[in-house]
Parts: sequence; structure tokens; C-alpha cells
Amino acid sequence: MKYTSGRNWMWEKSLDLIREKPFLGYGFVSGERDRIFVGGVNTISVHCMPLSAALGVGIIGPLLLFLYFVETTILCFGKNLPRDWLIGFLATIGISFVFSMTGPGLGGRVYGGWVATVFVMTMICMICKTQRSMNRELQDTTSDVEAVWWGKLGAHCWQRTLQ
Amino acid sequence: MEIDNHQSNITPIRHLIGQAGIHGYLLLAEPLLAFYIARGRSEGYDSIDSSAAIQVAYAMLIFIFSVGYLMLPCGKRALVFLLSRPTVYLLLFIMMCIFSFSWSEKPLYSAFMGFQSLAYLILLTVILDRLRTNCTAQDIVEWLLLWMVWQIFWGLMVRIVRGGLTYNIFATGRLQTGILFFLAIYISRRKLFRWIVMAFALFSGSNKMYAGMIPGAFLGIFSESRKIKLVSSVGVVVLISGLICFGLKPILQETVFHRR
Repeated sequence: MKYTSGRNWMWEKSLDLIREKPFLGYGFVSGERDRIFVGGVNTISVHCMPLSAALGVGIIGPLLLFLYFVETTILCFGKNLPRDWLIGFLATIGISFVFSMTGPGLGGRVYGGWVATVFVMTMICMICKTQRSMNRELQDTTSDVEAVWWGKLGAHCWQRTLQ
Repeated sequence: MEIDNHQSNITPIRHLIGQAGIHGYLLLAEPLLAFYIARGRSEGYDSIDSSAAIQVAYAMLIFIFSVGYLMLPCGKRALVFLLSRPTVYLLLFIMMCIFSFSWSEKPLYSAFMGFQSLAYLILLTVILDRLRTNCTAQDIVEWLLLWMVWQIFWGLMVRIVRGGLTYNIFATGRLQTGILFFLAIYISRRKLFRWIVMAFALFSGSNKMYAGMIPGAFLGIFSESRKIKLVSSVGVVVLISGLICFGLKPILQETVFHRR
């Protein structure tokens, strides 16, 4: 833990503070900035999504953010995504999550990786949802034998037509 | 919008850039603001100086424009998206952040930080909704990479103005470049964007980014691209061999934590 650039100290201090006020926290952003100091200066963030969120708004905050990550990951497993897209999306969610767990990302204020993380996560949700709704539409409109007959080629043409 | 694995034509940048309309330009204007108003704080972090006032005005502006879009009939889809899972979890969290003003010691500061998050979330959703309407999925990814390259460019400008060009330039955007790293590798078809984002992510010197890259790089084994599959497989073999021969701690100390 000595290679964490002071994070271990900030995280321990944050956990102590959360134990004192677990349900409401201390107020978004100001909660961590007023209580965590590094070298006598207010820290910008505690560099850990669940801790930042819990210090700000209590333990419901990290729960909501974890749900956000988990459901976005589940969304990616729609049948329509080409393999490289699926891999790209999963890897992007992974790196966003690791970054938010160790740096200034989700959970804190709009700073560091916040915009990039929300941008990619929202993009992934939107593309996956659009693909799913197209797929559903496709299944509704092509429930006849012909669609099955044409297989992948037919489905591809239908997708283009439905656009 | 469709995901076409074989989209051969690459949309020219001049066409791509305008696809998100005014909302896209608003987001692209942000690094310019940062370039002109960035400064170190001499007073408390919650004091409102001219730079903070510009940030407040910018947040208000993007909020007004984005909510204005949601009110239009064409914005209904974006509104539904915001209120549906999983985005609604983030929205709920941000609403809690705004309402934390009622128990915060610095109520105005907490409320504004929450409001700023809300404004950005809506803006990003609106941009993506407009892109979804006008572009293919491939172009949406390219637009995000365009935004990242734009961020890097203005980050470089800041560094040049402040300290000149050194190796340190690769640390530009180190807090966000890596997040788009795998979109650049696995999905992007524009080589220029791909190489810029990859170079700035790989040489950023950010340990957290390197840690995040490991699982994503291994997923490359399942890629359809032979090159990516080969590089990932070699990486896996090298890492596993290293772990078996030297153990985890020495490897970490000699790689990501070298000289730290």
C-alpha cells in the first residue's frame, strides 16, 4: 500500500468518516474537501468512487453507482453487437470502473475522468438500447417464416429498411 | 442507427463535427474556456472569482440549451432514455448530490457541484441522441474520439504556453485519454485518432490507467482482428510467465510502480 501516492491514508480516513455518518454523508464534494487534507491542503477528491459518493450523500450513493456500472455491463450482452464492439465496450467499462475506483471519476464532481466516463457509459447504453429495440422491432415485424428462411441476410436487410 | 462491422467509408471530419449540432459545439467549446480561464486558486476552493463565475455561466448555458432540447418533440427520446435504467441510477445519484445542500456545511457549493453534474449529464445525453439520429454507431464512436483529440490538442496548448514542449506533453489529458483507449483500438477506423489516443494513453504515466488496461487488453484474445488477437495472446503468455517466474510484487515494482 505504500505505492498508492497517499490514497491508502485518504481511504482509511474516509472510511472512519463514513462510519460516523453513514446515511447522509457530509454534503456533495464539500464533505470530502473539508475533511480530507494532504500536506495541509484540501484534497480535490479522495480518488475512489464509492468513498467519494458515501462521503457526499451516504451509502445509497455508491449503491446507485455500482448498479449503474453493473446494468450497463449487462446491457452489452445484447445479441446484436458485433464481437469487436462487445469487447471494446466491455474493456471501456472496465477501464472506466478501475479509473473511478482509483482516481477522480464518477462519485465526485465534474473533474478528471468524469466527463469521459459519463460520455462513454451513456454512449454504450444508448447504442446497446437502440440495438435491442431494433432487434425487438425486427422480431415483431419478421415473425413470419420468410425471415427465418432468409436468416442473417434477411435480418440485415430488415435492419437497413427499418432505419 | 446501425452497427456495421464493415463500414468502409470514413465520414470526413468537417461533416462529423457538426452532427451533434449546437450541443456538440458547446461541449467542444469547453477546453477553450479552460485554456483561457485556467488559473491556480489563491483563496478558498469555494470562493467565486471571475474564473468560477465563467464556469457557473457555462454550466447554466449548457443546462438551458440541453433542457430546451428535451422539451422539443424530437427530444422526447432522450428524456425517456435519461429516465430509464441504467442512466436513471446516475440521475438519481446526481439528484441526491444536489439535495445534499440541505445537510452540507457549504450548501451553495454542494448544490452547484450537483447542478453542474446534472447539466453535463443532460448535455452528453442530448449530444448522443442527436448523433444517434444523424449518424451510424461507428460515427458516434468517431465523434467521441474527435472530442478526445480536441481535448488533447487544447491540453497541449496549455502545456506549451506554461512550460514548453517536453516528454511531459504525453501526460496531457492523462485523467481521461485512457478511458477511450479501447474504443480507439477495437472500434475506431480513423487511424489518426486511433494513434493519437493510443500514444497519449500509453505514455501518460498514469498507473491507474495502466491497471485498467490489463483486463481490457486480455479481452483482445477474442477479437476478430488477427493482429489484436496475436498481440493480446503474446501479452497474456508474457504476463503469466512473468508471474510464475518472478511473482506479482516484483513485477509491479519494476513496471507500473517503477521509481515510485
